[in-house]
Amino acid sequence: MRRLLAVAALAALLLSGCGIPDDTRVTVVGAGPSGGAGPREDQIQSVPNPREAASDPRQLLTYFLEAAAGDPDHAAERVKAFLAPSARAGFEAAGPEIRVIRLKGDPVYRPSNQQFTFYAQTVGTLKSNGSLEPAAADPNGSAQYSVEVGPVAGQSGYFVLRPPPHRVLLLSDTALNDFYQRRTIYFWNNENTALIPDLRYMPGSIPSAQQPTTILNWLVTGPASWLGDVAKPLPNNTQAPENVPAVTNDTLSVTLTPQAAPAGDTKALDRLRRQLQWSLLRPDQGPQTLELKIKGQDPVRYSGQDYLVSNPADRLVETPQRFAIFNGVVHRVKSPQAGDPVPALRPEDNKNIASAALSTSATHTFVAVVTAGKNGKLRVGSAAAGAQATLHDVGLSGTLGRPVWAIAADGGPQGAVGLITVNGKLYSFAPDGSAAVQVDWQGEPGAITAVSVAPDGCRMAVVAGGRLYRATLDTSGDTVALSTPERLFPPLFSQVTAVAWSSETYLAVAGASADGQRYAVVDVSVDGALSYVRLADVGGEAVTYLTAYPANPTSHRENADAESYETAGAAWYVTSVPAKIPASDLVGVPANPPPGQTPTAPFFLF
Amino acid sequence: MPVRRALRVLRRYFRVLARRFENWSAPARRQWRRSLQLRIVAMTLAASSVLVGAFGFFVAQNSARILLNRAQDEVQSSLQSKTKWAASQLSVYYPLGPGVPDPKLPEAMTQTVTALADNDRAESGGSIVAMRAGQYPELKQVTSTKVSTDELITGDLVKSVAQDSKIARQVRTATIDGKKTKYLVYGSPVPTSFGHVELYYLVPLTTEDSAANQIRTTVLVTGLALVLLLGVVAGLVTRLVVLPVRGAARTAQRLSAGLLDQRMKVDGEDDLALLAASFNQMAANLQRQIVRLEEMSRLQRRFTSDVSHELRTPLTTVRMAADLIFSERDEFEPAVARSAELLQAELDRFEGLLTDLLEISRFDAGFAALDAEHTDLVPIVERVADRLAGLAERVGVAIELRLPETPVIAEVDPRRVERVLRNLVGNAVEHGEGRPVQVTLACDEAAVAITVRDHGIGLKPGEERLVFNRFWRADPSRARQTGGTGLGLSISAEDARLHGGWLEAWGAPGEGAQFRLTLPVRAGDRLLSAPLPLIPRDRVPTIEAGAAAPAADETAEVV
Repeated sequence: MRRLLAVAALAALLLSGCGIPDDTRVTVVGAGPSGGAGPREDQIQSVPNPREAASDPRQLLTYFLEAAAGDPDHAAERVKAFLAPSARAGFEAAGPEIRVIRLKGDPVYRPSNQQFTFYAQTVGTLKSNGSLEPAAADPNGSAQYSVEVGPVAGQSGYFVLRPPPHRVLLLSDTALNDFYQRRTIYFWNNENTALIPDLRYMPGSIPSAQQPTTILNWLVTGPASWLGDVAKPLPNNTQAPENVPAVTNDTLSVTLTPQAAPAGDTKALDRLRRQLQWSLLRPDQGPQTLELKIKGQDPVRYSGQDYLVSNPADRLVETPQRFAIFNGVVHRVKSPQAGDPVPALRPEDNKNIASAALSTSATHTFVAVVTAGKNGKLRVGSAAAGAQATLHDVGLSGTLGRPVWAIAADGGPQGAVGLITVNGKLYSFAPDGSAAVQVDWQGEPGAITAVSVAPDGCRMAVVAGGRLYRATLDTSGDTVALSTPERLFPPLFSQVTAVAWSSETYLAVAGASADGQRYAVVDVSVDGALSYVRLADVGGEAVTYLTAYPANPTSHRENADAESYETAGAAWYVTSVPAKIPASDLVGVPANPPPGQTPTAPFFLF
Repeated sequence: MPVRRALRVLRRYFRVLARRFENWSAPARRQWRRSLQLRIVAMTLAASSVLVGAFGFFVAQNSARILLNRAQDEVQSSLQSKTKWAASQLSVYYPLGPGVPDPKLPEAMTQTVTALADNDRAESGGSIVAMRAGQYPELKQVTSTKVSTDELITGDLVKSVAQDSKIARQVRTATIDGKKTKYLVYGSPVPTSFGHVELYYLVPLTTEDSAANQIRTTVLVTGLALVLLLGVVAGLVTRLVVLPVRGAARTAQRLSAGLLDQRMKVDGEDDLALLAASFNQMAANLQRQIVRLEEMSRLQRRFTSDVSHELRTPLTTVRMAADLIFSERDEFEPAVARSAELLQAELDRFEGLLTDLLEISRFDAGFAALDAEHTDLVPIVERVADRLAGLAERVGVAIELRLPETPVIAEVDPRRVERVLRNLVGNAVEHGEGRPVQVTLACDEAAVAITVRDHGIGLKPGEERLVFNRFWRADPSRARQTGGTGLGLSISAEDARLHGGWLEAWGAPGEGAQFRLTLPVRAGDRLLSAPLPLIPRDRVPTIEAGAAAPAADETAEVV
């Protein structure tokens, strides 16, 4: 019996010895994954100068006004690094938002109290999502800032001894230009018919490999506030849970949470990928394939350039068809299509015209003309491509401005919306000649003198009361609605007279310069912060009308090649110097035109 | 030497213990020796335990290995995808300079680890993801939970993964939240643009461990049940065989005890039935043989008795004639007178022989009956000595009586006791070689003993038993002086046995002999000891020292 017990105990002991061990030795399974071996360099575009680099107080001030540029999360730290230790404790930024200012004149340095004093215009607020919101306050009088700069005992270099009392992060507009890249991201409009561009500022300190992730996060947080009425954010609670990995295999891989596109909704998925492709890819460089992973769904790869059609701005051609009016008749300006007739306009209608607008969709051409004379009339019509339109009178009376076609939708003869100013008010009209409807304008900005609609059909720039505004146009309802306009503060101008879209992100603006005597044509970013002077001085005559054929976004040019303006009854090209459009440039104009008659009202076929 | 002393003490203790153990285990060992069933059951249990134990060990070990392998495969593939993902997530961070990581890297590591752990949460509860950067010591380890992983991620593992850039694994046990948990720890380098960081994936083996434990328990319980079942089966089977064998043994015992009509039960037609049948057949044959032999023996005894009876009548006639002739012998010639004397003497012998034969045949036939009564033995001894005084005087032997002064009362048949004593004392006088013969009587509460000692030629070794045989003589050529029949001691032995007593002999060459008659005080009592020693106290001491042991062998006992 004891032997039996012993055997049973032995068996139990053996059995208890087996099972999963408590601890084992380290077992090498295999070599680790390869790839990414050795450090690689990624050029960081541009980083603001550190405090230590400043060699004199003025340079330090310049650098101080650059310091906020870069990653918005650490902007306050960078600014703090400029402050003297005694000032750091009391400094608290009001948030990650940065006030962009434009200096008026050089700062004045008073060595006696080590103080800089300068005036600056507030351009807007750079949000952490990269969008710049124009300042809401009326900055007629520029604010005064004073900064104390000097050395600190025991430490090398200069410090900001006392920061400006406003306790905000300041950024000069030049720093905005130097240390940020302008990137356009896209959102669908409410009808899901077109992508709306949204200008963002990408800090130059973000390595290019991390930029897609940043862009994706911008997309997830939604469009800029001024586009909120017309641009659709990604579906609620959509998140980008992962970084966008470095490009491998010519592919950019994007991961989104399941809310981004419900499983099975192929249309939503297709829209999403087009939005992402427009926002992340460039058709001529970088990765060409997008891999879209939505959690819970199989990843899909998209390559090719079929996405380009989703942005109406992609229809913009390299060489636009230009027209001008000579002696009441619409003529082509010389171009490769010089032999073609003026589209859609019947020859018998092509007379006594003061201004005109032409727009094409895939199937139709839309015409709007304003007849000359004291009682000018607006006549509109549409025709299938290649056919000629019957014009209908739109019952409008008063001083008619220049008509523009805001939208030329594909699919039918009625899918277009036009805008025109009548007696300083804005009216919308349809191609069937039905009665024009006044578009409500909130606030009392004064008489509207110029209107321009971006190729996307939603964003518009308006000149009213000599000021520049931007707004969005909502055509989805029965009537055309205008959002509350935001005033832009472009540099140089004391008064704005004309505006046109120069690209997706820039406006061509004409107006009187600061002294109010000379006029200039300047391209201004859509938020008014940055400027690019096209013509610094076009003379003392007021620029009454400006038109431009925007640059195609795939060309990455931010400014239009083709811009024309009208001043004192004559049409001019915008080139390096002002150049009058000669009658000889027009097709079908006799070789010796009667004197006193010049081409007027230049326009483009959109 | 203290060591030797200690060893000795130890050995003594060991011996004591061993002896105690032997004492304690004696019943068990006896049982072990005696019970075939116990042995077979024990051996079956032992063998099956070894077999089942080995098998169970194999099964449990193998299943644990399979479970662990499966977990390892799963974790490894999971780790591969995790590593790949982490590498893709960290691929966008570049060093700002040599040894200076991207300032966003710690946050990215935290996010990566959190996302990896979140993805994992649904699959296996409690798994831990940790990330370290061996090349950048200023980067802290990032762990998905607050649990300390110091116990789980060992330095060896870190060395294999961080320095040698290998994928490695280890099983570790740690106490987390007061619970001991086994973890499968995997580590893999994650290639990045700035060298590599290391990803550790720790998966609790709770499920596998409990499954392995369940399998082990199941195997153990099943194995034990199997072993017990085998033991029971072995016991039952053995019982099937042992029971008939025991029956056969019992039957054989009864047969040997004389119950010749005992038979085994025959059930069925199997081997055991064959054994029983054969056994029964053997018993039947034996019984028949024994009955036949008994019959023959009975016939022989009957023959002896009949012959004795038949001889008696003519002998009476011859005796009467011989008595007449003997009474007239003075008138005959001396030679004829001598013949008449011879005739008379031989007739006496013949008559004695016939009487003894009749007595023996009465014993053989079982007709001898004990006529027991309370008798004082002292007068009987004295009477026997008186009767033989004449013979003793003739051969010059003195008979010395050593009798107690008080009467020795015992429940005996006085006639038979007197016959026995006469026989013994007569033999002693006859073989006394002229030396004295001592007759001693003694008694205690249960027994009374009488010894008769002579100092004659004694008995050779082995003759102590032979003296009680019928017609046995120590020296066949020796002349008879008393004309003994050769049946005297046989009859004496039968008389003693009839009393339930002993008649024993001791003798040594040259030392004489001693006979001891022991009788129970109450008829029918069982004798346990005798009040007098069989070996006389007056033995020559020199011889006694060397012959003490063999002397014991020379005693004989007749019951």
